[in-house]
Amino acid sequence: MTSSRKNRQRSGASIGDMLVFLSILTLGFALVYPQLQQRAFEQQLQGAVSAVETLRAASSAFMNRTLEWPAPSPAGVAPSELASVLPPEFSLPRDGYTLAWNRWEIVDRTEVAVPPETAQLSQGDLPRDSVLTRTEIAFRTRGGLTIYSGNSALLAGLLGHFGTRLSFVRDTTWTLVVPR
Amino acid sequence: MKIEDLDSPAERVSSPEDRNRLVAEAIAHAETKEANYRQPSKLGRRTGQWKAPLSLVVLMLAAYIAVAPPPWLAGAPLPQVSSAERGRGVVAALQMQARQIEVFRARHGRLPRTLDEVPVRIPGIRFVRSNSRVYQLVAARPNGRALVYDSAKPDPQFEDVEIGWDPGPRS
Repeated sequence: MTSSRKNRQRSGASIGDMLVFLSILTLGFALVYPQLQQRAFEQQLQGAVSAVETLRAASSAFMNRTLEWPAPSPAGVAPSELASVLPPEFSLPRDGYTLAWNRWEIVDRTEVAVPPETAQLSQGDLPRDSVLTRTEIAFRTRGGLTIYSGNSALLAGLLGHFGTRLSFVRDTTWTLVVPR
Repeated sequence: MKIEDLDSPAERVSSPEDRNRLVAEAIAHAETKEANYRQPSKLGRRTGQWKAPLSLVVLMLAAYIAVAPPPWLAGAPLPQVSSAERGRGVVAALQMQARQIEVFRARHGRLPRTLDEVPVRIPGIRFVRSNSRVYQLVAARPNGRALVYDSAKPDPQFEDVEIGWDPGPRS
């Protein structure tokens, strides 16, 4: 009796049995994989939404307290002003994406009417009923959150969750303008 | 139980003829078995014939499901960013970059020479100065064509993208 035959008799499984077992295992994995993938995506999206909400709430609380947004920080680094407000286990670099806090400055130019008495018009310069204007410049700051990720499905999920009015996607980033 | 209670050992010793006979019977039995194993069993071959085709069919089914899973199995498809949404993202990025340039202009009284001078630089945007007052920002749309922001006469879509955005507190 050859040794391979002895082994086969001892284990009770032939190559054919192994093939059948492996093919059934592969089929089972193929059946389960899409659901596993879907579940993993939903968990990742849920985690990202939760992280955005946490950072947004902390920034808004800081804004309400100090009347200014926290200073911008590099991607993956929490603003120093929020260190005491954010939960200790909260981290901006996460599995599959990285959060960043931004603060953009904008300038508003508004035309302000100058009352005729302060305009010091000389007779004949302008008609009596005309209104002079001067440009008034005001600097404002706008808070925002950005998520960097190569996973376009995650970016699309965030866009779907937070809507396209306040958020947008460009390349591998999703940005949310945080309302005051 | 004591040792005295056990059966006494048999005192009979087998004869050499008996032992030879037993050994010969054992060898003959083993040879018969070996001869049987050397000749493949028709029954065994028949029972194993279905395994390879079955494995092949199951593997093909698994490959088909992996490549093109049916909707009832795959569930809802993963969301994707549409071309229109990506286009809106390009418009928003250009508007935000233009805002940064206007902040620079208001603070310094001139246009920046390059975008490196601006506090926030959004990647993938090209800055072109026409003269000391007018500039253009250029970015690629999702279809590869260029989208231009002209500071002399910005397209209304750039203002529209900011509708609903908080103007922010004065700094």
